[in-house]
Amino acid sequence: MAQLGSGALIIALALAIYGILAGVIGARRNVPELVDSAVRAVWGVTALILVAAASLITAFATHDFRLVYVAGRSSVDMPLHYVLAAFYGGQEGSLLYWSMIAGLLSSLALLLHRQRDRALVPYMAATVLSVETFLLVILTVVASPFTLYPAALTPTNGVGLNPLLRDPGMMAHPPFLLAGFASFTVPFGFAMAALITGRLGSDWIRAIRRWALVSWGILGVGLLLGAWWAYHVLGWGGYWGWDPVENVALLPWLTATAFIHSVIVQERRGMLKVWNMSLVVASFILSVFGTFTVRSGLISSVHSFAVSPLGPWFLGYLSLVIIVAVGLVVYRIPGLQSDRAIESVVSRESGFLVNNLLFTALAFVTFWGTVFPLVSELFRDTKLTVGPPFYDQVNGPILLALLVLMGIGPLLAWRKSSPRLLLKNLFWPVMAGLIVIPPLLYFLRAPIPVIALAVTVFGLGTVVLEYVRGARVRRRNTGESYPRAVVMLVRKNGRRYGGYIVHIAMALLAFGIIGSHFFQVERQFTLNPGETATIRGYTLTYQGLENRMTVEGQVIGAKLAVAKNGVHRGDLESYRFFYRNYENQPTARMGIKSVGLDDVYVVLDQWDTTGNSQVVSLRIFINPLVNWIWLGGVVYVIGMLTLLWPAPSPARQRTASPVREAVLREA
Amino acid sequence: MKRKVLLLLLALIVGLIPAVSLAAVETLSPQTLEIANSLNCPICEGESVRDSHSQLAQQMREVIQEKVDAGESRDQIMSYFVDRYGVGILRDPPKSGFVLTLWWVPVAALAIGALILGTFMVQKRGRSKPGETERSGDASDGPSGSDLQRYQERFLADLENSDMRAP
Repeated sequence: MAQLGSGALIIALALAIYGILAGVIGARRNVPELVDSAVRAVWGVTALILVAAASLITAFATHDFRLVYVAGRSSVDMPLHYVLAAFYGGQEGSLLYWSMIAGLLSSLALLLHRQRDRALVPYMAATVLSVETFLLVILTVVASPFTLYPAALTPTNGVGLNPLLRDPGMMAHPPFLLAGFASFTVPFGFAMAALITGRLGSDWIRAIRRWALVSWGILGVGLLLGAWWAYHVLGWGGYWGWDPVENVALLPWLTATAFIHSVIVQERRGMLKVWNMSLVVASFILSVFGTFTVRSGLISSVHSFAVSPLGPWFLGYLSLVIIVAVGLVVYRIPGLQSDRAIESVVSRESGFLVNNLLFTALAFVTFWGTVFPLVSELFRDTKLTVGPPFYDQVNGPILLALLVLMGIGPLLAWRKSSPRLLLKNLFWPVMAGLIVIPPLLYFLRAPIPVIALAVTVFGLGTVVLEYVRGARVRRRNTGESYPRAVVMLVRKNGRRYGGYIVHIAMALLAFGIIGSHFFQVERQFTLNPGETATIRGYTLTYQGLENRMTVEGQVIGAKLAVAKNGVHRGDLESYRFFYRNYENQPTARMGIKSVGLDDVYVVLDQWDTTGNSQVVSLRIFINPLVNWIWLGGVVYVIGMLTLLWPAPSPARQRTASPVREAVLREA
Repeated sequence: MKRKVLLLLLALIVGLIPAVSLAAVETLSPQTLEIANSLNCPICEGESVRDSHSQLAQQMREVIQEKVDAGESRDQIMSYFVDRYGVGILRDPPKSGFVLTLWWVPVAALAIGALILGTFMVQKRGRSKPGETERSGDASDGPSGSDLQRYQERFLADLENSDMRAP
């Protein structure tokens, strides 16, 4: 298996280098056969990477501990799903997975676009293959997942997977996040092809937009799954800690979000070409940076289980990509001039520009906070940590401004909005925001979160208004019922109304974040069985400690009954795990019980199992509205799928024209 | 009658109190937890003293609680740890000296960004001809028609211009 895998990777590397040359020469000398050959090289490289991935998975499934990678990450007593997930549980495997996803998505993109965007194809293929070449060099020379132990040293059992990774979250978070990073290869490939060929018209921007949406969606899901994992495993009562690795994963998502907004301006008005190119390139660069930061151990983080000597390689590659990409963008600036100009400061275009300013500001602040400890160490020789307070204070207001903009932007007209009409349109959303202030202030008695909540309501109000008005127009023209009209709105104009679904998701996330950030309470208790802890109206009765051995290791669990105002609302159990070979790295699973809007969240801190004593020390959190974040995640996925759903066929679309004519005649 | 009601109430209240009170001991006060959450666990990666399961963090939590009980202020406790472990132990670095750049660089960047954006918008506007601007004013600004009418026109115009339009 190891020979098959490493052999496949070496052939893939050779094929990738051939493909780059074939693509470039084919395009320069205009040899269609060579260009086709380059496209087939992408498919071939992908197929070979799949062979390598399959052989690595087979090695895991058959417990082939001759492979250093397999022995270091799995063991015979681990459940099969973790054994298979261990495939991407270390850096060699995760880079193999990265290159596999990049290859698969690029192959698909080339399959779909090879006829329509012919001029772009050779350079697109060459760019993708250059990315693959870099990864394949790493996978064959520096960090091969197929390295073997000398025959005499082959262990009989593996060490097992890092305990932090033995969690259901392992099945979902890393594959999505890594796939999100890897998938930016496709829009990057298109962008580089457009820059190299100088074909900067609007035909390719649709292809880029679609693939950027795919990456943005996958990465977003990966981030949300990571938040969910952190919430039930890490035990600090939160879901996002502004940890460096979280931050670097957020960066490409932020620039991609900026791009999918500003690309609309380019499609509609032919503006911002340079800027959009830069955002696509930046998203890819930040994805490489993200992958590199996780691997390099450059910045201290909870994800530091994957430190390696890859740092210099990634740094070198990163510099190369930056130089080439920035050089190309600068070289093409004359060809990327706007077709039109901004006509009014009060217009949809300006709204999108401010949106981009805020999203890039978020990305910059996050980047700056993440690298500041390095800066400080370099220039001042002092070790510093930039923790959550910095991000809360700086990114918090920017996020609030984005929510305000979410309420105003959709109401702005293209080109020029009359301020009078804008104010008129804003009436209901503003009223919605204002109306919630007095009751919230009365109940919550804290001005800052109340303002944040009111702004979120305002942003949501605009989305609701857009749906209501759109549905009324449809109803008037087609006589559809309101629910049907809303469904048809989303189906017929998925880009706009699907985008608003994502806005709803963001509002739900905002509610959840505001609620849990400002109104979390936490207390620490030491309890004997039968004793109760009281915290904000909740009574938790400790029922006893469970201590058992499993094949994988030792499990300690504390059982509690949760009651609110004297009424029993359910039970929860908070666990600690001590895995074999990793006894000094205990992991945990929090006991979480959702009661109404609150999560009762219990961390098993310390326990005493000597004799009959079952004393435990627990940290108990009440986390309001966290469930809304997960709900927002589900809505995000729905919105993303709506945005990606193929648009109705042109034939069906034309039926809209008679309606429009009728409307114009009526007017 | 009144007495009967009072007695009944009293009985009810007494009945609500459990026979043996089993309230828990609170080992770490909320203030201790807050302080522990402002300190980095020195031997962990990205975890606060409050959240780390390491032995050192546990001892540090106990030290903080002792100091809180002894009546030391938050600042005193913080500087105690800074003296031992350096400023790196603070999750929120002190807003003084070099660290101020951490705060001011984003502000400056945002200001520069806004400035660039502002000049871009004004400059571009100046370049286009005034007559053209008037003609290309949005249809929704027309004086005729109801609100819904305007929205409808804008809505249909958006449809026409979206990428779903037939080529």
